[in-house]
Amino acid sequence: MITPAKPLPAVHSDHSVCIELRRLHRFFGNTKAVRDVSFAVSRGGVFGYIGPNGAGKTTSMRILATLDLPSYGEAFVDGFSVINDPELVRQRLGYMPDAFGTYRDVNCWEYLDFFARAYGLVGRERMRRLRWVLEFTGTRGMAEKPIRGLSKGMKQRLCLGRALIHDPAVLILDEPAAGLDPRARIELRRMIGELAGRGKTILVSSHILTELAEMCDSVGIIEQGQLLATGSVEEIQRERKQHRELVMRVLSSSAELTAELGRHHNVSNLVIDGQLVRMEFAGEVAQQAALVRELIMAGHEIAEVTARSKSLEDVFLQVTEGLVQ
Amino acid sequence: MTTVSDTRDANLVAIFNSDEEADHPPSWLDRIDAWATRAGDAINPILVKETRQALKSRQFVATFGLLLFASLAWTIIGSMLLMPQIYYMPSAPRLLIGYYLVLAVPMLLVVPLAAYRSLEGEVDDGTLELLSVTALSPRQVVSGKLASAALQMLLYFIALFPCVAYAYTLRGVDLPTLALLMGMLVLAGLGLTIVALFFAPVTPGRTSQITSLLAVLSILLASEFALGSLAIELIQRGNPLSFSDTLFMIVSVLAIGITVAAILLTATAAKLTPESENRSTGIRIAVLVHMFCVIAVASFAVASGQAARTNPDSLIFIPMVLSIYLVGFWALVGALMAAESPAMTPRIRRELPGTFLGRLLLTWLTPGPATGLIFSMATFTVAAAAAHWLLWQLVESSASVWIGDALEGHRLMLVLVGCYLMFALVGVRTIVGMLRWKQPVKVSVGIAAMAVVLLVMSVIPYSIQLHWNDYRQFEYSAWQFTNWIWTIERAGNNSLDGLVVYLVIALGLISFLSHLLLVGRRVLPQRLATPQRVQEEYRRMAGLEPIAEEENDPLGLGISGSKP
Repeated sequence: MITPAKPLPAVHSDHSVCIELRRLHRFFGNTKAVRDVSFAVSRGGVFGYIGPNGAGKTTSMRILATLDLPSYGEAFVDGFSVINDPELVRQRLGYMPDAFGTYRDVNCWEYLDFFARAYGLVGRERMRRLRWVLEFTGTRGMAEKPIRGLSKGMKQRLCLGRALIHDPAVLILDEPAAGLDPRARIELRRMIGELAGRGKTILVSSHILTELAEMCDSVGIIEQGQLLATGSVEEIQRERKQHRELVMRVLSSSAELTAELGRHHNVSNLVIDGQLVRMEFAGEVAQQAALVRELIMAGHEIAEVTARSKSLEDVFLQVTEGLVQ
Repeated sequence: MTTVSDTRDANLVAIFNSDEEADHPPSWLDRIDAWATRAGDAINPILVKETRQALKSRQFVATFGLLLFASLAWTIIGSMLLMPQIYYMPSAPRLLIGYYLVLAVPMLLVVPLAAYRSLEGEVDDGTLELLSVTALSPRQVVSGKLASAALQMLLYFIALFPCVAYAYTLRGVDLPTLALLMGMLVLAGLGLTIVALFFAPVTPGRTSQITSLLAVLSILLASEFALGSLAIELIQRGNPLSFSDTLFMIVSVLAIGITVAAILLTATAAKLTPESENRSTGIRIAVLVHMFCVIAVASFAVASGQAARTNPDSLIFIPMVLSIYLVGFWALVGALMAAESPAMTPRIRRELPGTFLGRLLLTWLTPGPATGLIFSMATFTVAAAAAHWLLWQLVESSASVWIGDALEGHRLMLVLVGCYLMFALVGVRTIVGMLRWKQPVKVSVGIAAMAVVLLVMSVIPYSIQLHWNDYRQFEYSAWQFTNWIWTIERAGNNSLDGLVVYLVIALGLISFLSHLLLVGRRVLPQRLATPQRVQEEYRRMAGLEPIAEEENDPLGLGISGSKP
């Protein structure tokens, strides 16, 4: 039996915070690509990194992947500094950049085999990892096909496989869904979900906000190198004191209701559309319940109340200003 | 019906299932297979990948095909042209020249250029970044590329070997000459590949790519021409050197060539290494070894010349050439070292020498412009003293008067050059330091800064005095003491005023002492402790600490623990 030449290092530790950025700055001449960015992602979390083009997402991700150095600040992966212990970080990290980075004249199996070797995997273990990655990414049937002939979606799968080949604890995925068709996007989302279920910590950037909202536990919104908001979508809403949209279906006279709601300090942007009354409500859920109770006690016949939280897209649009560096 | 894809799937299944435990004892074939797999695992992954790529590439197939075709064609045409003398006259040289030219094109041109393109392609295609985040070190990347080039050369060489053997049977070239010729070709091919890799740009950019490609092409074509001329001469006239001289030449070329190759490979790897890591110490050690080899070769040449009772006057060129080489080498290398970044990451500071003796002797090997400057000057001084000692040895054994004067002139020249070099390096450090305030600066800027400093040192005093003299010709005076070109020329003519010598020495000493004041802090204990968790992790990587089963199989693939 072939055994590895040396034991594999531990790629998972009991560190609760797997990704941490502390006051990260990166300047390119006069351009401040990243300014004072700090956030942390707990083990097993999926963190969505969103922002317009040129916001500083890729720069921060490259620093985390040990490909660039910060001008100031620190970044840690699984408790190890990306500046001082890059090789320890690399063992724990799977990085998928926005470019494919493939070789000519190699097939999928050879490509993955090369990276498995490059990560120090040997003998049977390498074969097992290769088998697992090809199965997981659904590229087993393509193993002997040259990379050149693969579709964009298949290339993306292959690149995800490459990032997973050494079984990293942390995955950094830079725009993994860019340019993929809907089916490939759904597949990718499934794979990311499954990896998160396996305890991987994932930092993913994307422009497709609806998908990020579905797969991420928390998000960070960055613009012009500055992190504007971080946390779950609800937390960001709460922090930003964002309004929820309330829609009431009122059977009684809506004119009196309008007058009463107009006096309420949490209500704004009141619109009456027949029996439907739309408004922006600034309070908490308990305050919302109190308002409904108050209206019913006042004799209004309220048949239906619907509250709609803002989507990630709404939050993103509200938080960012659409500025590009 | 079995389709192609079925067969492929079956192959894959066989590959994937090959690791299943066999229920019978391993046969000798299994054991060979296991050994081959282990050997394959030990090979540099870059070599494996590059070989797979090369064997499928059109470039390799075309080159190999052309090589076979050209060698076969030349065998037939050459033999026909030599008819009927081929039966009774030595005919090897003519055929061998043709074979050399056929082999030299892929060995000295195609393979180095392919290696260059391969490394450049890693940058262009974005795969270098992917390699950077793996466990592969930059040195492994570079050595893998070199090994792949060597393998291709070996294949070309083997393909042409029967033709060379055929030519040998036709008489006219002896076996040692043939071995020398082939050895020269292989070593030159490897050397040129190393040079090509060194020039491969590590940052994307059309201008740098075109510039470096032109530089590499020029070097390769010039080498092809020079080596071709040498090879043809060698084939036609044989080796003119005696056995001992040939041996000395081979050892010298190997020693100097290998150390230069080590410097270039280390520098290429350093270009691929992230800024946070120590990119300088390896180069400094390689430079030290190179210096040692150069002085050793020169010393051996002088000693063997003296032993053979050669006229000492005819050996004087050895310390002279050595001195000129030292000045050029240290002006270039010193400028690069003085332009290093002064930033020391905690990672580098962890590796600083911890003991008093270590700080005393090894601090100068740690990265940074301050230590680089002292390292350059200290090594230059020692090497220059060695060159002067060699000259002194020759003077001792010579009866000529002029050689004694040469010793005086050599000493004065070395002192002047050393002082100018010190001043220039401090100037380079200052200029690069000022540039670095605004933006990151590459070490190669140091060479430009050195050129500027040397130009300013000579042109400014000359221009001022020219202006002072209403643009009329004027005589050399002490005001021109920074004008190194004129001062050295005067020293060469033995017409330099003593005051100027003292002024130049003062210039060098002031530069050195002021620099030492800035360096002082470096020799204080600065070493940082390595965090315990990092130490544990490294111990674990080295296999000194056991690995927990679940850590080794986090995906639950059923991999058994691989504890030693």
